[in-house]
Amino acid sequence: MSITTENNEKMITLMSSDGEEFVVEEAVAAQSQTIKHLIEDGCSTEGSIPLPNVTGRVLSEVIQYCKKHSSSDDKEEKELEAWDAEFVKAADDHVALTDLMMAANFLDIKGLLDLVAQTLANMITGKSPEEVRRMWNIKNDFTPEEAEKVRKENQWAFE
Amino acid sequence: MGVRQSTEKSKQAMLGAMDTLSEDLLMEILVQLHTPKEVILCKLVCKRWYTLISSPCFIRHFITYHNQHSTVNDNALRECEWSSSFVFLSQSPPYDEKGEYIVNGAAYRYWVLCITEKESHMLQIRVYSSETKKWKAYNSTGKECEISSKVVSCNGKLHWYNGMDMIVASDPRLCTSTDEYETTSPGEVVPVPDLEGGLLHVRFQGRCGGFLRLILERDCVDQVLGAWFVWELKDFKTSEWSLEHKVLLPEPHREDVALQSILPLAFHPTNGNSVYLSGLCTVGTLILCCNMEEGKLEAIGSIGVGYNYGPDIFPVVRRWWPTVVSRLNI
Repeated sequence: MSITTENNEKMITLMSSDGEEFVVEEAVAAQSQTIKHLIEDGCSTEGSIPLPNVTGRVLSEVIQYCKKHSSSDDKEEKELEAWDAEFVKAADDHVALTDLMMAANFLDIKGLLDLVAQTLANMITGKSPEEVRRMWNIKNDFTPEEAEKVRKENQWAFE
Repeated sequence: MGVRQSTEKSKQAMLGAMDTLSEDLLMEILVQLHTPKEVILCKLVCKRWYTLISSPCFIRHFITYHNQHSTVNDNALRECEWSSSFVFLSQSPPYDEKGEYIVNGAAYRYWVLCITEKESHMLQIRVYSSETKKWKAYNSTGKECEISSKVVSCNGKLHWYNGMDMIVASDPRLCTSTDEYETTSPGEVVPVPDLEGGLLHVRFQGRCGGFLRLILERDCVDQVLGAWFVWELKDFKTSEWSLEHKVLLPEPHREDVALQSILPLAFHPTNGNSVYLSGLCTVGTLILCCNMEEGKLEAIGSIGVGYNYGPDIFPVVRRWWPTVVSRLNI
Protein backbone atom coordinates (compact mmCIF):
# COMPACT_ATOMS: atom_id res chain seq x y z
CA MET A 1 0.00 0.00 0.00
CA SER A 2 1.40 3.33 -0.93
CA ILE A 3 0.63 6.64 0.62
CA THR A 4 -0.31 9.44 -1.71
CA THR A 5 0.22 13.04 -0.89
CA GLU A 6 -2.92 14.99 -1.49
CA ASN A 7 -2.69 18.75 -1.01
CA ASN A 8 1.09 18.50 -0.93
CA GLU A 9 0.95 17.55 2.73
CA LYS A 10 4.28 17.31 4.48
CA MET A 11 5.24 13.71 5.18
CA ILE A 12 6.82 12.33 8.32
CA THR A 13 8.60 9.02 8.73
CA LEU A 14 8.06 7.09 11.94
CA MET A 15 10.24 4.16 12.89
CA SER A 16 8.97 1.43 15.20
CA SER A 17 11.08 -0.39 17.81
CA ASP A 18 11.53 -3.31 15.39
CA GLY A 19 12.79 -1.05 12.62
CA GLU A 20 9.66 -0.82 10.52
CA GLU A 21 9.19 2.53 8.80
CA PHE A 22 5.85 4.27 8.33
CA VAL A 23 5.45 7.36 6.17
CA VAL A 24 2.47 9.46 7.21
CA GLU A 25 1.14 12.92 6.69
CA GLU A 26 2.20 15.38 9.34
CA ALA A 27 -1.41 16.07 10.32
CA VAL A 28 -1.91 12.35 11.00
CA ALA A 29 1.25 12.02 13.06
CA ALA A 30 0.41 15.18 14.97
CA GLN A 31 -2.63 13.45 16.47
CA SER A 32 0.02 12.23 18.87
CA GLN A 33 0.97 15.06 21.20
CA THR A 34 4.35 13.44 21.73
CA ILE A 35 5.15 13.43 18.01
CA LYS A 36 3.66 16.89 17.57
CA HIS A 37 6.11 18.23 20.13
CA LEU A 38 8.98 16.38 18.48
CA ILE A 39 8.04 17.93 15.14
CA GLU A 40 7.81 21.36 16.70
CA ASP A 41 11.24 20.86 18.19
CA GLY A 42 12.55 20.08 14.73
CA CYS A 43 13.25 16.39 15.28
CA SER A 44 11.59 15.37 12.02
CA THR A 45 13.81 17.29 9.64
CA GLU A 46 16.54 14.71 9.48
CA GLY A 47 15.46 11.15 8.75
CA SER A 48 12.76 9.34 10.68
CA ILE A 49 11.38 9.75 14.18
CA PRO A 50 12.33 6.68 16.23
CA LEU A 51 9.63 5.32 18.56
CA PRO A 52 11.56 2.84 20.72
CA ASN A 53 8.53 1.82 22.79
CA VAL A 54 6.17 0.88 19.99
CA THR A 55 6.35 -2.19 17.78
CA GLY A 56 5.44 -2.05 14.09
CA ARG A 57 2.26 -4.08 14.60
CA VAL A 58 1.01 -1.72 17.27
CA LEU A 59 2.14 1.38 15.40
CA SER A 60 0.21 0.31 12.32
CA GLU A 61 -2.98 0.18 14.42
CA VAL A 62 -2.20 3.53 15.99
CA ILE A 63 -1.70 5.10 12.58
CA GLN A 64 -5.03 3.72 11.37
CA TYR A 65 -6.70 5.44 14.30
CA CYS A 66 -4.85 8.72 13.77
CA LYS A 67 -5.67 8.78 10.05
CA LYS A 68 -9.37 8.40 10.72
CA HIS A 69 -9.36 11.00 13.45
CA SER A 70 -7.33 13.57 11.55
CA SER A 71 -9.66 13.37 8.54
CA SER A 72 -12.97 13.52 10.43
CA ASP A 73 -14.42 16.66 11.89
CA ASP A 74 -16.63 17.00 14.93
CA LYS A 75 -19.85 16.87 12.94
CA GLU A 76 -19.33 13.21 12.26
CA GLU A 77 -19.19 12.30 15.92
CA LYS A 78 -21.77 9.51 15.72
CA GLU A 79 -20.12 7.93 12.74
CA LEU A 80 -16.73 8.26 14.39
CA GLU A 81 -17.95 6.52 17.51
CA ALA A 82 -19.16 3.58 15.45
CA TRP A 83 -15.85 3.51 13.62
CA ASP A 84 -13.96 3.52 16.94
CA ALA A 85 -15.97 0.55 18.20
CA GLU A 86 -15.21 -1.43 15.04
CA PHE A 87 -11.59 -0.37 15.10
CA VAL A 88 -10.91 -1.49 18.64
CA LYS A 89 -12.70 -4.78 18.03
CA ALA A 90 -10.48 -5.46 15.03
CA ALA A 91 -7.36 -4.26 16.83
CA ASP A 92 -8.08 -6.75 19.61
CA ASP A 93 -7.50 -9.54 17.07
CA HIS A 94 -4.12 -8.23 15.93
CA VAL A 95 -2.40 -6.78 18.97
CA ALA A 96 -2.71 -6.87 22.73
CA LEU A 97 -4.98 -4.07 23.83
CA THR A 98 -2.65 -3.42 26.74
CA ASP A 99 0.19 -2.79 24.25
CA LEU A 100 -2.06 -0.49 22.28
CA MET A 101 -2.88 1.32 25.51
CA MET A 102 0.77 1.73 26.44
CA ALA A 103 1.48 3.07 22.95
CA ALA A 104 -1.42 5.52 23.19
CA ASN A 105 -0.07 6.64 26.52
CA PHE A 106 3.50 7.01 25.29
CA LEU A 107 2.39 8.81 22.15
CA ASP A 108 -0.07 10.87 24.16
CA ILE A 109 -3.21 10.27 22.10
CA LYS A 110 -5.95 10.94 24.61
CA GLY A 111 -8.86 9.67 22.51
CA LEU A 112 -7.21 6.34 21.79
CA LEU A 113 -6.15 5.92 25.40
CA ASP A 114 -9.71 6.44 26.62
CA LEU A 115 -11.11 4.18 23.93
CA VAL A 116 -8.85 1.27 24.85
CA ALA A 117 -9.28 1.81 28.60
CA GLN A 118 -13.05 1.78 28.17
CA THR A 119 -12.85 -1.40 26.12
CA LEU A 120 -10.74 -3.13 28.75
CA ALA A 121 -13.07 -1.91 31.51
CA ASN A 122 -16.03 -3.30 29.59
CA MET A 123 -14.27 -6.66 29.48
CA ILE A 124 -14.18 -6.65 33.30
CA THR A 125 -17.83 -5.73 33.71
CA GLY A 126 -20.02 -8.61 34.77
CA LYS A 127 -17.13 -10.94 35.51
CA SER A 128 -16.25 -12.46 38.87
CA PRO A 129 -12.74 -11.82 40.27
CA GLU A 130 -11.89 -15.38 39.30
CA GLU A 131 -13.01 -14.82 35.70
CA VAL A 132 -11.02 -11.58 35.52
CA ARG A 133 -7.91 -13.40 36.71
CA ARG A 134 -8.39 -16.13 34.15
CA MET A 135 -8.99 -13.65 31.34
CA TRP A 136 -5.71 -11.84 31.94
CA ASN A 137 -3.72 -14.60 33.48
CA ILE A 138 -3.36 -12.76 36.79
CA LYS A 139 -2.07 -14.72 39.75
CA ASN A 140 -4.28 -14.80 42.82
CA ASP A 141 -1.85 -13.83 45.59
CA PHE A 142 -4.40 -13.69 48.41
CA THR A 143 -4.43 -16.39 51.05
CA PRO A 144 -7.96 -17.69 51.71
CA GLU A 145 -7.96 -15.79 55.02
CA GLU A 146 -6.97 -12.51 53.37
CA ALA A 147 -9.58 -12.97 50.66
CA GLU A 148 -12.18 -13.55 53.35
CA LYS A 149 -11.12 -10.36 55.08
CA VAL A 150 -11.44 -8.32 51.89
CA ARG A 151 -14.85 -9.86 51.33
CA LYS A 152 -15.89 -8.98 54.85
CA GLU A 153 -14.81 -5.36 54.81
CA ASN A 154 -16.72 -4.85 51.58
CA GLN A 155 -19.62 -7.07 52.45
CA TRP A 156 -22.28 -5.14 50.59
CA ALA A 157 -20.57 -5.44 47.23
CA PHE A 158 -20.51 -9.21 47.47
CA GLU A 159 -24.13 -9.66 48.51
CA MET B 1 -5.36 -24.24 10.66
CA GLY B 2 -1.79 -23.39 11.49
CA VAL B 3 -2.52 -19.72 11.27
CA ARG B 4 -5.47 -20.05 13.62
CA GLN B 5 -3.34 -21.87 16.16
CA SER B 6 -0.70 -19.21 16.20
CA THR B 7 -3.34 -16.53 16.58
CA GLU B 8 -4.72 -18.38 19.60
CA LYS B 9 -1.28 -18.71 21.03
CA SER B 10 -0.33 -15.08 20.62
CA LYS B 11 -3.72 -14.15 22.01
CA GLN B 12 -2.90 -16.01 25.18
CA ALA B 13 0.39 -14.15 25.46
CA MET B 14 -1.37 -10.85 24.93
CA LEU B 15 -3.80 -11.39 27.73
CA GLY B 16 -1.07 -11.93 30.25
CA ALA B 17 0.07 -8.40 29.51
CA MET B 18 -2.14 -6.81 32.16
CA ASP B 19 0.75 -7.09 34.60
CA THR B 20 2.93 -4.98 32.33
CA LEU B 21 0.65 -1.97 32.62
CA SER B 22 1.82 0.76 34.92
CA GLU B 23 -0.22 1.76 37.96
CA ASP B 24 -1.44 4.86 36.13
CA LEU B 25 -2.74 2.91 33.18
CA LEU B 26 -4.38 0.24 35.30
CA MET B 27 -6.07 3.10 37.11
CA GLU B 28 -7.28 4.54 33.79
CA ILE B 29 -9.01 1.25 33.09
CA LEU B 30 -10.52 0.68 36.52
CA VAL B 31 -11.95 4.20 36.88
CA GLN B 32 -14.03 3.50 33.80
CA LEU B 33 -15.91 0.68 35.48
CA HIS B 34 -19.52 1.71 35.80
CA THR B 35 -20.36 1.20 39.45
CA PRO B 36 -18.46 1.14 42.75
CA LYS B 37 -19.72 -2.38 43.21
CA GLU B 38 -17.86 -3.53 40.13
CA VAL B 39 -14.74 -1.81 41.40
CA ILE B 40 -15.00 -3.31 44.86
CA LEU B 41 -15.35 -6.77 43.34
CA CYS B 42 -12.06 -6.14 41.55
CA LYS B 43 -10.33 -5.71 44.89
CA LEU B 44 -10.37 -9.49 45.10
CA VAL B 45 -8.47 -10.03 41.87
CA CYS B 46 -5.01 -9.66 43.36
CA LYS B 47 -3.12 -7.59 45.94
CA ARG B 48 -1.91 -5.10 43.36
CA TRP B 49 -5.45 -4.30 42.33
CA TYR B 50 -6.56 -4.27 45.95
CA THR B 51 -3.95 -1.71 46.94
CA LEU B 52 -4.68 0.47 43.94
CA ILE B 53 -8.44 0.47 44.41
CA SER B 54 -8.11 1.13 48.15
CA SER B 55 -5.94 4.21 47.65
CA PRO B 56 -7.53 7.63 48.23
CA CYS B 57 -6.02 8.74 44.95
CA PHE B 58 -8.00 6.12 43.06
CA ILE B 59 -11.23 6.93 44.86
CA ARG B 60 -10.83 10.64 44.09
CA HIS B 61 -10.07 9.89 40.48
CA PHE B 62 -13.04 7.53 40.20
CA ILE B 63 -15.46 10.06 41.63
CA THR B 64 -14.14 12.92 39.52
CA TYR B 65 -14.32 10.79 36.40
CA HIS B 66 -17.89 9.73 37.04
CA ASN B 67 -19.04 13.18 38.01
CA GLN B 68 -17.79 14.40 34.65
CA HIS B 69 -19.28 11.58 32.64
CA SER B 70 -22.62 10.91 34.21
CA THR B 71 -26.19 11.99 33.79
CA VAL B 72 -27.60 14.57 36.16
CA ASN B 73 -29.78 12.20 38.15
CA ASP B 74 -27.05 9.82 39.08
CA ASN B 75 -24.79 12.68 39.85
CA ALA B 76 -27.19 14.05 42.41
CA LEU B 77 -27.21 10.82 44.32
CA ARG B 78 -23.46 10.64 44.33
CA GLU B 79 -23.05 14.14 45.67
CA CYS B 80 -25.45 13.33 48.43
CA GLU B 81 -23.62 10.28 49.52
CA TRP B 82 -20.29 11.93 49.32
CA SER B 83 -21.09 14.86 51.51
CA SER B 84 -23.49 13.33 53.95
CA SER B 85 -21.55 11.69 56.68
CA PHE B 86 -23.81 12.59 59.58
CA VAL B 87 -26.82 10.71 60.74
CA PHE B 88 -29.24 12.61 62.93
CA LEU B 89 -31.21 11.12 65.73
CA SER B 90 -34.39 12.84 66.72
CA GLN B 91 -34.67 10.88 69.91
CA SER B 92 -32.15 10.14 72.58
CA PRO B 93 -29.64 7.54 71.55
CA PRO B 94 -29.06 4.41 73.58
CA TYR B 95 -26.40 6.40 75.30
CA ASP B 96 -25.24 3.88 77.84
CA GLU B 97 -25.03 1.12 75.36
CA LYS B 98 -21.53 -0.24 75.11
CA GLY B 99 -22.02 -2.02 71.83
CA GLU B 100 -21.42 -0.83 68.32
CA TYR B 101 -23.93 1.55 66.86
CA ILE B 102 -24.80 0.31 63.44
CA VAL B 103 -26.62 2.46 60.96
CA ASN B 104 -28.29 0.58 58.19
CA GLY B 105 -25.63 -2.14 58.22
CA ALA B 106 -23.28 0.37 56.64
CA ALA B 107 -19.63 -0.51 56.37
CA TYR B 108 -18.32 2.98 55.98
CA ARG B 109 -17.38 5.84 58.25
CA TYR B 110 -20.16 7.85 59.75
CA TRP B 111 -21.17 9.91 62.76
CA VAL B 112 -24.38 9.74 64.64
CA LEU B 113 -25.43 12.98 66.27
CA CYS B 114 -27.90 13.88 68.88
CA ILE B 115 -28.33 17.56 69.67
CA THR B 116 -30.58 18.56 72.52
CA GLU B 117 -31.26 21.96 74.02
CA LYS B 118 -30.68 21.53 77.74
CA GLU B 119 -31.77 25.01 78.65
CA SER B 120 -31.84 28.39 77.00
CA HIS B 121 -28.54 29.08 75.21
CA MET B 122 -27.14 25.71 76.13
CA LEU B 123 -26.81 22.72 73.87
CA GLN B 124 -25.72 19.24 74.57
CA ILE B 125 -24.11 17.67 71.56
CA ARG B 126 -23.52 13.95 71.52
CA VAL B 127 -21.51 12.35 68.78
CA TYR B 128 -21.04 8.70 67.97
CA SER B 129 -18.15 7.82 65.73
CA SER B 130 -18.12 4.58 63.78
CA GLU B 131 -14.35 4.54 64.00
CA THR B 132 -13.97 4.74 67.78
CA LYS B 133 -17.35 3.05 68.33
CA LYS B 134 -17.90 5.46 71.21
CA TRP B 135 -20.23 8.26 72.14
CA LYS B 136 -18.78 11.57 73.14
CA ALA B 137 -20.75 14.40 74.69
CA TYR B 138 -20.11 18.04 75.31
CA ASN B 139 -22.02 21.12 76.24
CA SER B 140 -22.01 24.37 74.37
CA THR B 141 -23.21 27.70 75.63
CA GLY B 142 -23.54 31.16 74.18
CA LYS B 143 -25.88 33.04 71.92
CA GLU B 144 -24.89 30.70 69.12
CA CYS B 145 -26.64 27.97 70.99
CA GLU B 146 -30.16 28.64 69.93
CA ILE B 147 -31.34 26.46 67.12
CA SER B 148 -34.11 28.14 65.16
CA SER B 149 -33.94 26.16 61.94
CA LYS B 150 -33.15 22.81 60.50
CA VAL B 151 -29.64 21.65 61.24
CA VAL B 152 -27.94 21.17 57.90
CA SER B 153 -24.80 19.18 57.28
CA CYS B 154 -22.62 20.80 54.65
CA ASN B 155 -18.92 20.33 53.88
CA GLY B 156 -18.44 18.22 56.97
CA LYS B 157 -19.95 20.76 59.33
CA LEU B 158 -23.33 21.29 60.89
CA HIS B 159 -25.07 24.57 60.27
CA TRP B 160 -27.99 26.20 62.00
CA TYR B 161 -29.60 29.58 62.38
CA ASN B 162 -29.54 31.07 65.85
CA GLY B 163 -32.81 32.93 65.49
CA MET B 164 -31.16 36.33 65.45
CA ASP B 165 -28.48 37.28 63.01
CA MET B 166 -26.08 34.47 62.47
CA ILE B 167 -25.49 31.07 60.97
CA VAL B 168 -23.42 28.83 63.20
CA ALA B 169 -21.06 26.24 61.75
CA SER B 170 -19.99 23.50 64.07
CA ASP B 171 -17.85 20.44 63.59
CA PRO B 172 -18.64 18.18 66.54
CA ARG B 173 -15.88 15.80 65.54
CA LEU B 174 -13.28 18.42 66.39
CA CYS B 175 -14.15 18.31 70.06
CA THR B 176 -11.06 16.69 71.48
CA SER B 177 -11.97 17.27 75.07
CA THR B 178 -11.57 14.24 77.25
CA ASP B 179 -13.74 15.75 79.90
CA GLU B 180 -17.22 14.66 78.91
CA TYR B 181 -19.00 17.74 80.08
CA GLU B 182 -16.52 20.47 79.37
CA THR B 183 -18.27 23.48 77.97
CA THR B 184 -17.09 24.85 74.66
CA SER B 185 -18.28 27.15 71.98
CA PRO B 186 -20.02 25.24 69.20
CA GLY B 187 -18.01 26.70 66.38
CA GLU B 188 -17.68 29.58 63.97
CA VAL B 189 -20.37 32.02 62.95
CA VAL B 190 -21.24 33.94 59.85
CA PRO B 191 -23.77 36.80 59.73
CA VAL B 192 -26.91 36.19 57.69
CA PRO B 193 -27.69 38.50 54.75
CA ASP B 194 -29.43 41.79 55.51
CA LEU B 195 -32.89 41.17 56.97
CA GLU B 196 -34.00 44.69 56.01
CA GLY B 197 -34.88 45.69 59.51
CA GLY B 198 -37.04 42.68 60.17
CA LEU B 199 -39.01 42.76 56.91
CA LEU B 200 -37.39 39.50 55.96
CA HIS B 201 -37.04 36.43 58.06
CA VAL B 202 -35.06 33.27 57.73
CA ARG B 203 -37.44 30.66 56.44
CA PHE B 204 -35.36 27.68 55.63
CA GLN B 205 -31.87 26.46 55.14
CA GLY B 206 -30.55 23.65 53.09
CA ARG B 207 -27.74 22.63 50.81
CA CYS B 208 -27.12 22.60 47.11
CA GLY B 209 -23.99 21.49 45.29
CA GLY B 210 -21.82 21.74 48.39
CA PHE B 211 -23.02 25.24 49.36
CA LEU B 212 -25.24 26.25 52.20
CA ARG B 213 -28.44 27.95 51.07
CA LEU B 214 -30.85 30.14 52.90
CA ILE B 215 -34.37 31.25 52.04
CA LEU B 216 -35.33 34.67 53.34
CA GLU B 217 -39.05 35.26 53.17
CA ARG B 218 -40.84 38.53 52.68
CA ASP B 219 -44.45 38.46 53.77
CA CYS B 220 -47.25 39.53 51.52
CA VAL B 221 -48.34 42.98 52.66
CA ASP B 222 -50.22 45.84 50.99
CA GLN B 223 -50.35 44.49 47.45
CA VAL B 224 -46.70 43.53 47.55
CA LEU B 225 -46.39 39.87 46.76
CA GLY B 226 -44.68 37.61 49.21
CA ALA B 227 -41.32 36.43 47.99
CA TRP B 228 -38.48 34.10 48.74
CA PHE B 229 -34.92 35.25 48.35
CA VAL B 230 -32.57 32.36 47.94
CA TRP B 231 -29.07 33.15 49.14
CA GLU B 232 -26.03 30.96 48.83
CA LEU B 233 -23.05 31.15 51.13
CA LYS B 234 -20.13 31.27 48.69
CA ASP B 235 -17.37 31.65 51.23
CA PHE B 236 -17.74 31.11 54.93
CA LYS B 237 -14.50 32.86 55.87
CA THR B 238 -15.37 36.13 54.14
CA SER B 239 -19.13 35.85 54.81
CA GLU B 240 -19.77 36.14 51.11
CA TRP B 241 -23.41 35.52 50.27
CA SER B 242 -24.79 35.63 46.78
CA LEU B 243 -28.43 36.12 45.85
CA GLU B 244 -29.27 33.21 43.55
CA HIS B 245 -33.00 33.52 43.05
CA LYS B 246 -36.00 35.62 43.81
CA VAL B 247 -39.25 33.68 43.79
CA LEU B 248 -42.61 35.45 43.92
CA LEU B 249 -45.15 33.53 45.90
CA PRO B 250 -48.68 33.13 44.60
CA GLU B 251 -51.21 35.45 46.20
CA PRO B 252 -52.84 33.52 49.00
CA HIS B 253 -56.42 34.45 48.15
CA ARG B 254 -56.45 34.21 44.40
CA GLU B 255 -59.23 31.87 43.37
CA ASP B 256 -57.33 29.88 40.80
CA VAL B 257 -54.63 29.03 43.27
CA ALA B 258 -55.72 26.04 45.23
CA LEU B 259 -52.60 26.03 47.34
CA GLN B 260 -53.14 27.42 50.77
CA SER B 261 -49.62 27.41 52.04
CA ILE B 262 -46.24 26.46 50.74
CA LEU B 263 -43.29 25.20 52.74
CA PRO B 264 -39.78 24.59 51.45
CA LEU B 265 -38.62 21.03 52.01
CA ALA B 266 -35.25 20.65 50.38
CA PHE B 267 -33.04 22.02 47.67
CA HIS B 268 -32.09 19.80 44.80
CA PRO B 269 -28.64 18.43 45.71
CA THR B 270 -26.99 19.62 42.50
CA ASN B 271 -29.44 21.52 40.35
CA GLY B 272 -29.34 25.06 41.72
CA ASN B 273 -32.62 25.99 40.05
CA SER B 274 -34.79 23.44 41.80
CA VAL B 275 -36.32 23.43 45.23
CA TYR B 276 -38.80 20.91 46.60
CA LEU B 277 -41.85 22.18 48.42
CA SER B 278 -44.88 20.92 50.19
CA GLY B 279 -48.13 22.66 49.44
CA LEU B 280 -51.29 22.35 51.44
CA CYS B 281 -54.44 22.26 49.34
CA THR B 282 -57.95 20.90 49.50
CA VAL B 283 -56.97 17.39 48.48
CA GLY B 284 -54.19 17.09 51.01
CA THR B 285 -50.52 17.87 50.88
CA LEU B 286 -48.78 17.99 47.54
CA ILE B 287 -45.07 17.58 47.00
CA LEU B 288 -43.98 20.11 44.45
CA CYS B 289 -40.85 20.80 42.50
CA CYS B 290 -40.25 24.44 41.76
CA ASN B 291 -38.02 25.60 38.96
CA MET B 292 -36.90 28.94 40.37
CA GLU B 293 -35.33 30.10 37.12
CA GLU B 294 -38.51 29.73 35.10
CA GLY B 295 -40.91 30.22 37.99
CA LYS B 296 -42.63 26.93 37.22
CA LEU B 297 -44.26 24.71 39.80
CA GLU B 298 -44.85 21.03 39.18
CA ALA B 299 -46.61 18.53 41.40
CA ILE B 300 -44.52 15.39 41.76
CA GLY B 301 -46.46 13.59 44.44
CA SER B 302 -49.09 13.88 47.11
CA ILE B 303 -49.55 12.77 50.67
CA GLY B 304 -53.34 12.76 50.79
CA VAL B 305 -55.84 14.08 53.30
CA GLY B 306 -55.53 13.27 56.95
CA TYR B 307 -51.89 14.09 57.42
CA ASN B 308 -52.07 17.46 58.97
CA TYR B 309 -48.44 17.82 59.72
CA GLY B 310 -46.04 18.79 57.02
CA PRO B 311 -43.79 16.02 55.84
CA ASP B 312 -40.21 15.91 56.91
CA ILE B 313 -37.55 15.25 54.32
CA PHE B 314 -34.82 12.73 54.89
CA PRO B 315 -32.04 12.48 52.43
CA VAL B 316 -32.04 8.86 51.37
CA VAL B 317 -28.78 8.07 49.74
CA ARG B 318 -27.56 5.21 47.71
CA ARG B 319 -24.29 3.68 48.78
CA TRP B 320 -21.89 5.18 46.38
CA TRP B 321 -18.36 4.88 47.60
CA PRO B 322 -17.92 3.25 50.96
CA THR B 323 -15.17 4.29 53.29
CA VAL B 324 -13.81 1.18 54.84
CA VAL B 325 -13.87 1.29 58.60
CA SER B 326 -11.15 -1.19 59.40
CA ARG B 327 -8.21 -1.55 57.09
CA LEU B 328 -6.59 -4.73 56.07
CA ASN B 329 -2.83 -4.74 56.37
CA ILE B 330 -1.25 -6.69 53.61
